[in-house]
Amino acid sequence: MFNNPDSLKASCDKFADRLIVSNVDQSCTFAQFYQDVIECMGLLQGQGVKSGDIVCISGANTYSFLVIDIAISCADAVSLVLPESFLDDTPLDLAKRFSFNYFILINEESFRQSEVQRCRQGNALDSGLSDTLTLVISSGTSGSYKGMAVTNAGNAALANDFANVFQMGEYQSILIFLPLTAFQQRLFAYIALHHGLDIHITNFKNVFRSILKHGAGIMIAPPAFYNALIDAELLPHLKKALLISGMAPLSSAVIEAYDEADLTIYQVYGLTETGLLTANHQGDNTYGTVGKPMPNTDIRIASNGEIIARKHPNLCSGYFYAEESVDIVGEFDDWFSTGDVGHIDGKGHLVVEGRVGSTITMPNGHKVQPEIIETQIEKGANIRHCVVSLNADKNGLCVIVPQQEQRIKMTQINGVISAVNAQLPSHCKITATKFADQEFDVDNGYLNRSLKINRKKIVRDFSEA
Amino acid sequence: MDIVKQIIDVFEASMKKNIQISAGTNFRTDLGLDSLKLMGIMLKLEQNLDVEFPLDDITPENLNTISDLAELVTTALNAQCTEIGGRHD
Repeated sequence: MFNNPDSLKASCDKFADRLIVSNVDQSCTFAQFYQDVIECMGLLQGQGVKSGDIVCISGANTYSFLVIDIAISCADAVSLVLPESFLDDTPLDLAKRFSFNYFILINEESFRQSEVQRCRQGNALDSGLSDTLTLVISSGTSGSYKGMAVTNAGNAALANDFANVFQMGEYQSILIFLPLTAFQQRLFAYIALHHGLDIHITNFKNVFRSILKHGAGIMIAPPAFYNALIDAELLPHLKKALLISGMAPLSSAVIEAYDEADLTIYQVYGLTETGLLTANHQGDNTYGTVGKPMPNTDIRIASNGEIIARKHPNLCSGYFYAEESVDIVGEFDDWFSTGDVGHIDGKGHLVVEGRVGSTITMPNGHKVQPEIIETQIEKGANIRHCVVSLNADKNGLCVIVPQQEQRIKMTQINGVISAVNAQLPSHCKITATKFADQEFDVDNGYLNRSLKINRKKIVRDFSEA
Repeated sequence: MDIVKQIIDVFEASMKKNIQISAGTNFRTDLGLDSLKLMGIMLKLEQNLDVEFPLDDITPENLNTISDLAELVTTALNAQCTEIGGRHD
């Protein structure tokens, strides 16, 4: 979309007065942004960055991040974006691991003060990656990582998908507060630049302040965040906002609170590998589902319950493997196994039930999807989080609840567990409740930076509590 | 009005639960607040006291109790008063 200066100039000329607001109250126009990107591109080229080079970047959500990210694309190089959690390692160690040529730790104050470190010579990009816009890394819970190659064609198609299904041109701004190191957040910045929407870049700690001051515009966030907005009494500031959610089901308490405030949250479903697969939208919104398939997308359910998707084009060309060079392994060219379990309802809406990897197999071979039970308990007791796992004696299930939730809402939780147990087969009842002595939070790692639950860590730390 | 008392009032109004809150109350272990909930209450506190906190500097290591927060409020109020030539104690 912005892989050359001309396409960026066209957008920034067309929407010259639109604003990029960072840190709640520092703003500049798209016209200035274009000038900054061109200056930054010159600085990168002056440091030796050339077409096909891989430039690793990482840092906090700032204006500088956006400038450097797009300057790399305009220089016909490829960005490799690392989550900040990787920054314990030195750039040279990271370069050995990911085969990039340059490393930039983004300076929060100014792109001009961001040091470019040359790490290795030679063109590290395999020729099969010629259409690559960016390489994205997601950190695994076991210390492994997953690298994906986002293509220019996939990025443009995904931006169009979002713009068309949500009529984004009707909105004034986009709010970005989850880490820009996650591709989805950068995609929203690209969409905003392309469609002439103001961009509000902030972070987790300042996002409420930003909403209070500027409203939300278009926002994509997990259910936990929509819940937090209720507590912060910010719903009146969400009028005329487009609220999109993914990653987990919305609780009935959240849906009711937003309904009362005359607000609607649209649940969508997609993966970095494929892009947007299904979406609820203004014309068709059914709570409890993630909507119907997008155009050029087929969804079916495999015999084991896994959601299988075929989309053209996919967002990514494949997973990449970085050793001596960056090579694609396993191109995505046909049906893609999503790793999620679900079903399609009578009206063609997809319902996501959980992850294949979290399926619990009981000693008799019966399979239980813990997310379904967790959602019932969370909805019934109106608690934010719980995690269901196999009991230590393997003869039943246990539910892990933060101790404070349990203390405050013990009666509701016990009542809901009884009701849930009444529906479960005799060999997979909930037989134990375990108490976590901490909230499930980003700060302690029980939620990841995108506010998704870290199931493995919670089960490891608290199932024996 | 005592700053600790003002903070406690905001927390009690926000918690919607009948919990005894004092200067030593810990946000996480006593009130069960996660960081999102805490940020929401801090926002209300900012509005009530007409002060702005340096939120980026706040970590679980330096902000745990009502007392910690009172110190933060005092520092922020003093900084504001210093800007207009006064001091708040």
